[in-house]
Amino acid sequence: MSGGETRGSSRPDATDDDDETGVQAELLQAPKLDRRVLARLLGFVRPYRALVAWSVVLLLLLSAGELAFPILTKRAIDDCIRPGDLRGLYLITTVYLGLLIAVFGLRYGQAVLTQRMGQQVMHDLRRRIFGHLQRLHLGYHERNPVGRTMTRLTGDVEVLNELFTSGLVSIFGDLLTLIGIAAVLLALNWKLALVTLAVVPLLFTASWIFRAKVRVAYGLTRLKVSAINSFLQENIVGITLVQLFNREARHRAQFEALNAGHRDAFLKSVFYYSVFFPVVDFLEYLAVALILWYGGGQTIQNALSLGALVAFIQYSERFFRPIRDLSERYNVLQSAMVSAERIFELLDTEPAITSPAVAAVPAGTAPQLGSGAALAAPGTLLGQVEFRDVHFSYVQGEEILKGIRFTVRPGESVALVGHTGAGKTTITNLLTRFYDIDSGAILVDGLDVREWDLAALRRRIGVVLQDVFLWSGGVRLNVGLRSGLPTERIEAALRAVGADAVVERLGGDLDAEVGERGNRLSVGQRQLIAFARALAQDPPILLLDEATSSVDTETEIRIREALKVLLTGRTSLVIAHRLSTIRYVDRILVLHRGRLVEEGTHDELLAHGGIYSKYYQLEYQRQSEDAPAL
Amino acid sequence: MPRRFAVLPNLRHLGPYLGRYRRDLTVGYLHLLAKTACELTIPWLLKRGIDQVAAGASAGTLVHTAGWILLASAGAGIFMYNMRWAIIGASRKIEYDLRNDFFGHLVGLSLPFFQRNRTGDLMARATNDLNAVRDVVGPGVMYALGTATSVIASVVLMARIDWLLTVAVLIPFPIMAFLVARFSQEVHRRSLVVQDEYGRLQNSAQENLAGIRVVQSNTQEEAELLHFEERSQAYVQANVALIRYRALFFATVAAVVGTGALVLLWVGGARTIGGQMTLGEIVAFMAYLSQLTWPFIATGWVASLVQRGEAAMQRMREIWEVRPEVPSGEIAPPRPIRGELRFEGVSFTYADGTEALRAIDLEVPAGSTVAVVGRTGSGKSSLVSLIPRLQDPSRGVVRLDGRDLRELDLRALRAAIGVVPQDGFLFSDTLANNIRFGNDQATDEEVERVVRMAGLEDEVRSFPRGLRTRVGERGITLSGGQRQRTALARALLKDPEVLILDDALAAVDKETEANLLETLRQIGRSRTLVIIAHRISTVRDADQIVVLDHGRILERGTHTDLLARRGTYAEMARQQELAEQLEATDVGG
Repeated sequence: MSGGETRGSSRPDATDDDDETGVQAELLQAPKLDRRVLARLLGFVRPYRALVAWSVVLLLLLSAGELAFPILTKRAIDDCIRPGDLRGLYLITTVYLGLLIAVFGLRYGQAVLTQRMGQQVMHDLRRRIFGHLQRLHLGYHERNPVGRTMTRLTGDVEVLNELFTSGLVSIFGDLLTLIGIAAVLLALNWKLALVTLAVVPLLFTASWIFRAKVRVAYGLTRLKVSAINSFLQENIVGITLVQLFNREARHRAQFEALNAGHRDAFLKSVFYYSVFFPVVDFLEYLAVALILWYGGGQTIQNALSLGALVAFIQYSERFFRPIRDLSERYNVLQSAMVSAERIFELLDTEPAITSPAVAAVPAGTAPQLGSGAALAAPGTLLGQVEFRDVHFSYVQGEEILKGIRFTVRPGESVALVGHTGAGKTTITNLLTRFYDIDSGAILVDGLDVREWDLAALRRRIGVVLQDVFLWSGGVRLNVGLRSGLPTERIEAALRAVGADAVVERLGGDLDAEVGERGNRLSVGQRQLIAFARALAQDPPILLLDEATSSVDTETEIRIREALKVLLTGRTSLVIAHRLSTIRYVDRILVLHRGRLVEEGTHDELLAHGGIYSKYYQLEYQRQSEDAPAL
Repeated sequence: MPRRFAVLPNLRHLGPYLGRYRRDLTVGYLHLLAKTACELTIPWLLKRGIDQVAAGASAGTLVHTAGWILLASAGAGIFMYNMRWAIIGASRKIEYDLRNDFFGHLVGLSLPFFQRNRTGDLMARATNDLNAVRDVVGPGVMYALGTATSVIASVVLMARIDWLLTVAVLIPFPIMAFLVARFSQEVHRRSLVVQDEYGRLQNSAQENLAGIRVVQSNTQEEAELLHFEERSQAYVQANVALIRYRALFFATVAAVVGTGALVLLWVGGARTIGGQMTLGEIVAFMAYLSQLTWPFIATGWVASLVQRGEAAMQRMREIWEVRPEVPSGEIAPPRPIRGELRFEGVSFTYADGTEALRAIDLEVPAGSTVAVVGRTGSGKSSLVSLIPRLQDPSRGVVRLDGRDLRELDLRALRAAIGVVPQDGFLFSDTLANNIRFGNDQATDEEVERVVRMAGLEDEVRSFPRGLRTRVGERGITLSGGQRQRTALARALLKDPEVLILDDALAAVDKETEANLLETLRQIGRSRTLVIIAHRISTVRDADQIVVLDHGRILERGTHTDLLARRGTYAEMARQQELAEQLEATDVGG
């Protein structure tokens, strides 16, 4: 088996290379600086105009202050040291000290001011994105994995932070410094200034070439890093296969190849850096040599003071750093553009489901939603649900509901029963208008859900999902939600469903942590909390998707009792998994492949001997057999 | 070994790696010395130039000095290039070696290790931590050496010009190194706070998005936004605290450097007026000072690099020191392997104390088929994981052809066993390479044969590049059934004596399943087959069916035996029949 192992590289995977270069080309392509995107970004800065103005003023002062140091040195040399004026020297050094302190303050103030502003802008952006995400329809969230959406909200915004803090303002500051130095040099001695500045185009070219090369090398490195990471991840996840197929050595060889690709890509950028830094240093000294040679000559001819010569040398040093950094800042700008585009794409996605322009809020709804509504429904009707020939499909051509028609009268409890994929969950999604139907109508209290004010509609319908979602935080938060309910009401709801025992187990503290997703609670405990949540909101209509997971006997009995409390006095639609529930409800609707096939009470349907009786045997009968054992 | 390096107990384990690149590092250091020497002559040349100007020398001498400056800087540049290339290059090579070794170590560790450790955590050690260690070896070493060399050399040269001025001018610098070290600790601490807040911000967003349905159906959008704003604001506050400190840091460094220049102008100016110095010497001092600025900053920076690298190395070594829990035996299994399996009083307990298997006795004659059924969590997968020794039993013995598995050579044992896992995990590679997983040397014909056997032929033909189509990340996404059949083909190509199907046909449709079972029956005549399944149709023809419950064998026998017993198995069969009937019912129209 070991004979031919070394030939592993001749495996037929050479065809993948063109794929890879395709991806590379895409990754390495320099993004364009879109003026519209930039303008839109600047729109987020507008509220901080005054701060920007201050920041610029400080920046101007800072640049001016920095420029003054070589001048002071020049004055010290020409006016004091050469003529031998000791008192003058002390005066100048005192001024120098004062300037040093001033520049210290300016530098600190400017940095804090600018970056704080950047932070505020980021905060505003995050708020906008988050708010937008809250309004986006469920379909969007189901299509886009949480991870990706998170990246927009956090990662991409962070990248923009770079733009505000080390991008725009710094570029502006650097340009100011460059212009300032050039001006001072020209004023001191324009001929020498021109000779000195002759180095600048060289430096510019060098940094530009370097920037392009490093960008490519860096992009390549990132590509290789992600290749290593996916390989690593895949091998950790698939470790048993690696071991079962005795591939440890071969995978190590594959890993080494990937790793070598990464090393070589990195060495390439090491190479560019190793060339670039010496070149920049050399150009800097070239300028110094030029100053010494040409400027020295001028000084000897008395066309330039000795102090000015020294000032020139000092300025040339200050001149180089911004040019070297400019290319780096340009890279920051580019990646910021990519993130900004992604963010705006998200912000431009319109919510598919919104309240109509003139939203109706039927009577019986909390009045604080004062949208001047056309009142369409009879005021006394609270909790009537009607499906009129409802057709619906998530994906076009694959109809999930094929003409559903039923009515639930106020106060009635109805169970939905059917096999997986029969469309039960879809019905709950449609009633709360998470999706809009293809044809037909869904009416709540006589009004089409599409005419309802969305918030009012959802406030009228309480939902308990199969997979209970809990926030990390206390029971108070999870029952009263973030909008907050009075403690008495929360406690009453907890008592009513028997969830006060859960709180007791948490030390009687309503704010004791329940863990991420409620993982410090058992499945049954989570159920009870969800019941309490629904009860505390006290909605006229309740949608309940029962959990399938088995719980211990004590909890089972508690849940059974809690359900009775919950269903009493309101219209309820239950996707039932418990025998006790289907026995308790007023009526059962049997769904089969998107159609309503049977309807009636438990006994009626059982006697009928149709589909329901088979479901009963399959899903529920065992529960009655198990019940004594429980 | 003498304990000289006890200060960095973890990083010293890099010794062998550094040793391997001894030559690169030595060459790098020699070039660093040469580079420093060149750089240090420049201020001296400047001094000469300025003094020449002050003395009104001829243009010719100035050209001469300027030329020397160029030459010195060109030399410094070339040496600097060599230095960076050698030292940073070596650090990248060490990173390469470290990562390879880490990976090699990781793939040798046993299943329980991977159940204990989260993928993300292992990944972090192989990436972030490794980078932190690499930074110590590369920039860390380079700047530490560079600083030491240039500080010593320039101080000596400056002192030769004027030692009093040297002392005066250098006073701020040690203060700066101290400040940098202190500052970078505090900055690090504050950035941890920032990271913490960032994590919280992410968590709250993540939670919100995961529960968006609950948020919207309870009309909590506004309240959630308010909460998020609070988190975001807290993050802003943490950032501002960091920003303030960092701004203070940079302003301080600039001020300290400026103070050096100020002292130089003040003391140096006075001494020049007094005739103890020349103007050129002041300029030389200026140049030395600006050359010293970075090394002093680097000192503090290197200190924090080393600190972080040490912690990272410790985290890496935690993994490094784990030994495989399933060591190989020494005996090569006697050929030919017949494939007889025997479980004798086998129990298996997880590290957390959960008992997955309790006193299992089971005999699987060579060439027979055994089916294992039971609820989720009844111990089926644990049972079969013991056969290829993904883990070892806590008590009892598993034997292949009468030999305790632990005595056998692990590679040879695993070579004799084919496993088709439930999830049909495939690597992101071409279909052909995935199938060749257990046998690189298989010919195209052999691959095509197992593809046919697994009933994948037609589908493969419909793929854009046939067997050379990439699957997984950056490739096509296969359906669950296709993945399972690919995994089956992969196991078949290995031509194993024992074939294990761990619920591996669950995602395959009924009709295809029937065909596959027929194929398996054919090859099963000469092989031992272990099938875990939920569907009665999958297991009914097995020579022996075992019903597991809570890690115990509840029932065993053939399909007919078990139906007659009217126990758990019979109930399962009845349920499935009912479900099938329901599936088949078509109402309305």
